[in-house]
Amino acid sequence: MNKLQRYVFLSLLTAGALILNIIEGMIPLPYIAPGAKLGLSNIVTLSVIVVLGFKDALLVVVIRCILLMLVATNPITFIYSIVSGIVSTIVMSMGLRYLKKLSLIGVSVLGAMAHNTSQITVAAMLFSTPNIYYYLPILSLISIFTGCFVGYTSIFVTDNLDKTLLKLKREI
Amino acid sequence: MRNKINKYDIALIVVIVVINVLILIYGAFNTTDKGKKIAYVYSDNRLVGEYTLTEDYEKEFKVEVDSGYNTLHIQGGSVWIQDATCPDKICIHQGKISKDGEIIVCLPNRLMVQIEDNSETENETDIIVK
Repeated sequence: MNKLQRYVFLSLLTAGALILNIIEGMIPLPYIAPGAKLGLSNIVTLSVIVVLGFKDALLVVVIRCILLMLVATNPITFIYSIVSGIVSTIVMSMGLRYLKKLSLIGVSVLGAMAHNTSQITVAAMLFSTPNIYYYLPILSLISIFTGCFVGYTSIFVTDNLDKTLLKLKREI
Repeated sequence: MRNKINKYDIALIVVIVVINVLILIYGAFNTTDKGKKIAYVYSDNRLVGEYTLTEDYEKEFKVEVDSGYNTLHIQGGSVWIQDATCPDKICIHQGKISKDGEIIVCLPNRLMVQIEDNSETENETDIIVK
């Protein structure tokens, strides 16, 4: 894969993540706790970590957050999404590298937990009170379900991406 | 090998579930439901109101910031958000709060309502006054 192909590929993935993020906001979900959502764009993040590596994943996450702020949300939401996006990317790539026994599902659960914890930490800093950690246990329980879902989906996505990349390599 | 859920994943999930359920149970047993409850309303990190919650106290008021407002309603010893300008309406969905330590947050409007049980500090003050 040459440089141009790589950038096109990454921008396609970023666009996909952005669309998933926007669609996610349209899905009506039963209210459980503030900030609980599916985290569909984590599918893209995790797949890029597996297929292309940590640096590219970080690039996708940062660009996705900036675009999401411009398209759909506001700067305050941007702070939450970029911090938690970067932290969960770091945790997931560490998990993939050092916890070799875990499957993608376990790694994704770790990422979802990191996502929640960092988001609540940002909220605690913005509100300058630790009381918001009140929601952490219930959010962590929810994140196990969403993490399993995201991990299971990423398994299929990475399979397909690997095939696509092989095809690209053969055609060059 | 990494494409299937294995026992290590399940172990991780079980550990997380057990820890969080224990925290939740601990929290549920630790909240006291007696004494004087006070609702503190914070907007943009500043304390804008203190309301003592009793059964017959009723009040509805607006807290405004640049980005919009939240309408709070206090009735029957509990607080909830009646109406808000935020896009996601998460603060309204958080429902009524009435126990010590419970909070409502509205991230877009930077509003926080928190209930604290002031029975202990109340007693201390009594001793000092006497």
